[in-house]
Amino acid sequence: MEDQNQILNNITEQEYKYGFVTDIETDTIPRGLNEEIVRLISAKKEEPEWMTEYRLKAYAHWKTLPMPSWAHLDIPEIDYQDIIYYAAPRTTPKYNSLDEVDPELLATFEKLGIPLEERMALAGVAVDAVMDSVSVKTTFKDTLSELGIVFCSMSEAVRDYPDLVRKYLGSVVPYTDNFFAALNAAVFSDGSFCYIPKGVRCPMELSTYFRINAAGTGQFERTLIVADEGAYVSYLEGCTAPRRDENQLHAAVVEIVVMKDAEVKYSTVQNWYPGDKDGKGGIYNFVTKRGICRGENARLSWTQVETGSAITWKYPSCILAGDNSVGEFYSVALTNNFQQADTGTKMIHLGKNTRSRIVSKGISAGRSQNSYRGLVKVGRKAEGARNYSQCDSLLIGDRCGAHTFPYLEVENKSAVVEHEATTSKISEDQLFYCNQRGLSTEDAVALIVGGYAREVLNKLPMEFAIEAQKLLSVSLEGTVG
Amino acid sequence: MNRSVEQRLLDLYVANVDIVGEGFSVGLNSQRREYIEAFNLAGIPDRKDERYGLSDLRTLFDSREWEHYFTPVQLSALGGESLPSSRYRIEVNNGFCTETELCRLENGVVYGSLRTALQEEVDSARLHYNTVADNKGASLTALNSAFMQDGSFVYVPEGVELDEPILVFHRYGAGAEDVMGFGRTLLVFGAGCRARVQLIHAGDHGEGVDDRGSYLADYVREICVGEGADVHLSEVSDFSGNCHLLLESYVSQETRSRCEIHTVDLGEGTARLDYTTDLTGREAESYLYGLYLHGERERCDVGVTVNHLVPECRSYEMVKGVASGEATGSFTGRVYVAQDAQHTDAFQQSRNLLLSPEAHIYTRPQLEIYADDVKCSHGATVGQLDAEAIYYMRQRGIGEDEARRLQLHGFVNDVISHCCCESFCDWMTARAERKIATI
Amino acid sequence: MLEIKNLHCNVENKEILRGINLSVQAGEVHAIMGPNGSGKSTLASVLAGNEKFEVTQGEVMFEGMNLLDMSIEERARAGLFLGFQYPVEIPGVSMANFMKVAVNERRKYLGLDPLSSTDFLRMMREKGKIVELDSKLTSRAVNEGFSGGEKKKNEIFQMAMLDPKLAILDETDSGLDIDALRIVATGVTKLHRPDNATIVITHYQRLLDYIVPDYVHVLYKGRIIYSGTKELALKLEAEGYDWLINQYQ
Repeated sequence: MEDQNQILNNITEQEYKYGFVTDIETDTIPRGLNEEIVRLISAKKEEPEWMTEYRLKAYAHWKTLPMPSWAHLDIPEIDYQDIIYYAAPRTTPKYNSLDEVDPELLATFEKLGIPLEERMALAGVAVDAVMDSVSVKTTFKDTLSELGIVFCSMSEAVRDYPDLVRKYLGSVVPYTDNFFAALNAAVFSDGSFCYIPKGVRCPMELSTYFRINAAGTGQFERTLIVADEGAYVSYLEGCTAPRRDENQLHAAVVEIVVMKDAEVKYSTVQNWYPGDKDGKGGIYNFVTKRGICRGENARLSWTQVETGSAITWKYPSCILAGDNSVGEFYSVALTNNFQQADTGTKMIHLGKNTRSRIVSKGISAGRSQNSYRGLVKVGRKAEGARNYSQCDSLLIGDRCGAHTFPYLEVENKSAVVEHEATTSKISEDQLFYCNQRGLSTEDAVALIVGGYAREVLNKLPMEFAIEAQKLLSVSLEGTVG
Repeated sequence: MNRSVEQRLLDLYVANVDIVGEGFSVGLNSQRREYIEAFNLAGIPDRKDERYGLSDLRTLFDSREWEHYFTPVQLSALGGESLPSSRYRIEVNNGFCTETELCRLENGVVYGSLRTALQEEVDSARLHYNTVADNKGASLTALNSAFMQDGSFVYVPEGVELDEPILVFHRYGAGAEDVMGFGRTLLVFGAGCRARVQLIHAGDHGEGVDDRGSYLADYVREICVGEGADVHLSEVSDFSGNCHLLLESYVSQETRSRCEIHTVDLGEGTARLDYTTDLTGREAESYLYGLYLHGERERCDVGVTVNHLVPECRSYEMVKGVASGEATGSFTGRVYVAQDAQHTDAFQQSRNLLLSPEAHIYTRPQLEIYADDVKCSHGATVGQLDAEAIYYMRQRGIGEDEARRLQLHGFVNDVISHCCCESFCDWMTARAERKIATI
Repeated sequence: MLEIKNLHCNVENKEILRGINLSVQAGEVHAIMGPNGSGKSTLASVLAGNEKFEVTQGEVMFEGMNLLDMSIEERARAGLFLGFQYPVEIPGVSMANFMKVAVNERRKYLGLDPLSSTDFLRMMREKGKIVELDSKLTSRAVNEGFSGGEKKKNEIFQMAMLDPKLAILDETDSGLDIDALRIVATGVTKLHRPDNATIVITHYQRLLDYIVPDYVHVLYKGRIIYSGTKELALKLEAEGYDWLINQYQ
């Protein structure tokens, strides 16, 4: 027992490994938010008039909104006038080869274990690496462009593919959607844009790594993915942020449009700085992610492994508008120390015979609070809709909390909706069994948690699954005393 | 109608403060002022309220100019309805007990008018009144506490085993106007006692119901279950379409006590049934079986909150709903496990059948857990009658309608069949069958 | 008793039965065998009136009535019984209540008065003995928590209760151990009389050791490709279906 408590303490006191600061000069604008700042951001990015107008409308709307307070989160007062809304690395933001990239930046990625260089080529991954806000480097662009696939930064997309961006930007997450979506629409700095044309299967995993680097800057990513009829893409997003004592705000928006017969898999490993073991610092991660299955037989799958951030507010959702479309949500959320997470999904069934599946695995340790919040709504016309939700919580230690808030709203009589949830701890029997077979308690805990999360981890692409597994055990790692 | 509901109720209270408080102790009356202020502060819950949102109570309160009478009214008997037989019986009309004298049995059991019990300073009433419902921050409960004039009261002393159930019969009815009323029940069970209570909420089914106004009942019940006591309650609400019942039931259970509640809503109007149980002593066990059966444009919202405040308690809730016609059913459940309430065993299940294109079901079973060594689970389903089972029954020669009826009966049966005594079960089953035939 | 002529049927626009012809007289036992997916269970379901199946051609006469015009329950009341391969669980509905409604519907069809509760319970006890059904099971919900063997016994018990003219037993032997198989099959034999008939659908010859068929039919790709006597079943058991299929093709 003594040992066990020691281990639990070690685990729950585990500190953030990726806490370091990269010393790169950054180009910032004054603190605060007003119409001028919005115009300045737009001007710095050399945006067309319509984009500036869009931002201003979003800003005007944002001013009318209160910050949402319904989540099971204790969010300290945020002074939105004390945030720097734009920061770009001051180095020339366009590279033709790796040699031109700031070596220190490359070293940072190296430390994070991000295989940006040749390893990436072997792994077959194209990376649109984002350092703070401006896209630094895009690889494999040529290979992709041969197939007609557009994969570039949002800034480039606004410049080079204005018609596509105008058509789809804000079509799934309008700036009126919520407080953070409005904020993002007003000040988003950059992000990724991806368009897969009709009938094209994207031959490689597309991935973007995000970092927050400049002190005191908010990060407002904007991602838009469009899979045209019959297209397929698997998109990976992962992030690790260096340690900061100041809280940093992250309010990203991801929009996904899936047309008839198309499929999009969106996977995330989120490891922003969670704050120290006393709950000091850490990222506030207030993200709006939503996709729409517009056409028949469209499929959208969200997979997330959430281990970071001091506060997470995130509900990757699927609007199942097309008949026979399928939405999936697989999530592992691990909170430790003083972390708080309120995460889940919304499955909105509008089309006939639409199906959705939710698998959520929450793990709470330390003094953290971990909530699942999910809505399953079956509209009047969604004949034959089906949903199954499984939400499990695992508690490690007696000072944490695990909560489940499902919302089932059914307005069609042919629908079948099922929700199940369980709460458990790692049993002493399990630990004893593992100990008896020679495993240390620490390894046993990692093993058991890995097994608990297996169903979700299996949904990740191979290379990501390994990283995620590593992240889970790192988050649970401790030295046996 | 320019004044807000809250303001109108406050004005009503101020204008009638002397009538409301007549005969009650100074202490009790001084609390009323605090309650009406608390109500005003919190206001009628609106759609944004997590706990009440599904009910849209504000619209209900705003829908009419509700009158309130501060004196008992005469209500006609249920038209031709038979009630289950019972030796011990309390009748309450629009919140007022029909008998002012308390019944005192040889074994020490006391039952009857809550007003009399409080005014005669019966200890078990005085000491427990407003101890369970207090501090819940629920505005409707505060409103009730401000306006409370009468209701029903039961006291079963320590160690007493009550041979037969006590029947508390609530009847609601309006005259030509739309009427609002406040009902109150206080049930006090001493340590180690065993008792059964049946509660019926019925509308005034007399002549000319169609010409009558609506009735809105804000009803609050407190139940104190002493150490090792074993209490079984069965409750039926079955009233006509012009009745709206807002029920808030609070239970507080001490060590090793057991409390089982069966509640069935068959009413044609709107019902909001809210059950809160605090498990305050170790090894307490709480069971709740709920059922609502609704067609037409009926509506029922069931809320269940179980607070595990200490270790080693057990709770089980199974709430079943059937919505047909244009009916709406909702369930909001919450299992709260406090820090250090280890070895909690909690289970909550919401099962629903949606039988028509215009019907709606909303369900939110929620877990909020702050202790790690617990066994908690919940589940929710929304579906239809099983087509395979219908086919199977038809293959055995059972007609399609009969097959549906049988399956519906099967669905509701386990809630009804476990209620507190056989004659009441039969009575409840007959009424449920009648309701099933209409949906 | 049963006359099937050129019966065709579709499931989700796929043709499963492609012209079945079969004649069953009172007092006869027919066995229908055939490889997986040949349409055996479909035939049983179509005769019972399962609405998943769409009859596209042909006619079926049962006791002089046009079977295809009748609803599922009308067929059952007229004396057509289907023993399900996978009996359905009906939570909350007790066996006794379920059977009482079913028996009285059948009696009503036959012009008989409903049974009194006493007579009904006596009948339950007597018929239960035929398949050695644990009397506790009849107080439980229909098939709920029954083991595989109990479910199949329960089917034959219900057959005994309803006393059908024609019983179609769909893979009643599947999932049974030797003892249960013997009990179920003996039960069926006990219920056999000169005025009723049985169609047994099975994969295995072993069931036919107990329920001796007058005719054995081989169903393949939605047609009866060969009919014979009980010896055919033994030959099929020994040699498989290939020789027949080759011959047919």
